[in-house]
Amino acid sequence: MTEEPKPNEANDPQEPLSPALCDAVAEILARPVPEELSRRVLEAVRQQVPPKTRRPIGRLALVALLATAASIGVALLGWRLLGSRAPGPIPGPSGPPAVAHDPAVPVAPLPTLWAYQQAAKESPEALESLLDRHARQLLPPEPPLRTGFLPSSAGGIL
Amino acid sequence: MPDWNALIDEHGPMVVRISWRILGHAADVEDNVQEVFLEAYRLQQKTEVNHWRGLLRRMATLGALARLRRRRHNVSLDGLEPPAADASPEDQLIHRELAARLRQAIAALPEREGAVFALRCLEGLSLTEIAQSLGITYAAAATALSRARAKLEAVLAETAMEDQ
Repeated sequence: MTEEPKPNEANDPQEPLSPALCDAVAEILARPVPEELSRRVLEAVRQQVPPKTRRPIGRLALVALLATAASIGVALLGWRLLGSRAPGPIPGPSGPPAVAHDPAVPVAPLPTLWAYQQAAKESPEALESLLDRHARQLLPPEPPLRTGFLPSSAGGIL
Repeated sequence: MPDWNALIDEHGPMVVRISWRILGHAADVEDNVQEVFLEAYRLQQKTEVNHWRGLLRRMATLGALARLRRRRHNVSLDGLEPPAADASPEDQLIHRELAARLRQAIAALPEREGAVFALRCLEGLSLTEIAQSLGITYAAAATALSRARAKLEAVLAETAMEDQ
């Protein structure tokens, strides 16, 4: 603890203080700073000064927020651009396997909608015929009927 | 960048002492000392400080006076200065009251007069040192001290007459 200075009137000649003022000043000067208070206060100041550098959590959060917003914006833009194009084929239930055509045999074109309209106008049979033709082109050839699929041992039963 | 631990070690006791003599209350002293050093830290980031002792003395004095003016008159007994061990309870009460009245009267003074009086009579500085610390002329410091003394003596005399 540094030495506590006392009033030094010799520095600047002044009239003496009035008795009441002198007593009041003396009363204040008579109370030294409590050691415990001084130690506690200065320790608290040491903890606070200089202020601890805080991590820029606010800035990091802001940057993260902006990055997330930008990502969402890009994703939405891409989605809208893709969505403006013609929708691709929607995968349906797994149908029959594609028919393997012999490259040597020319593939007949499928009937057009116009052909169906004409066939319907012509007759129900013509429409049926056109449908059959369409089906034959799309569906795989039906396997041959198996005759005698029952085991020979079942002969006795039948 | 100054070594703050060294600054606090060197000038901290002075800041605590000035705050204690002007305020006389532990919690107020604690607040004032912390505020002084935090303000000094902010100041040195903006401008170069060459005379730390003078700066901290001035900040401690003006800060304590401002706090004294803001303080309510009925200060809680917690944190008040301890009574002298060798005084009778009656003397303790009278002296404590006298000190409290002087502090109230100082708080009522204009800032410059209060600061000059505190630095002269409570801290023992010469008028030259006071003028340097407060950034005023010697004549201004002398005038402020003379006015402050006259006002304080009048207040204390008035108080003594009321008590009789």
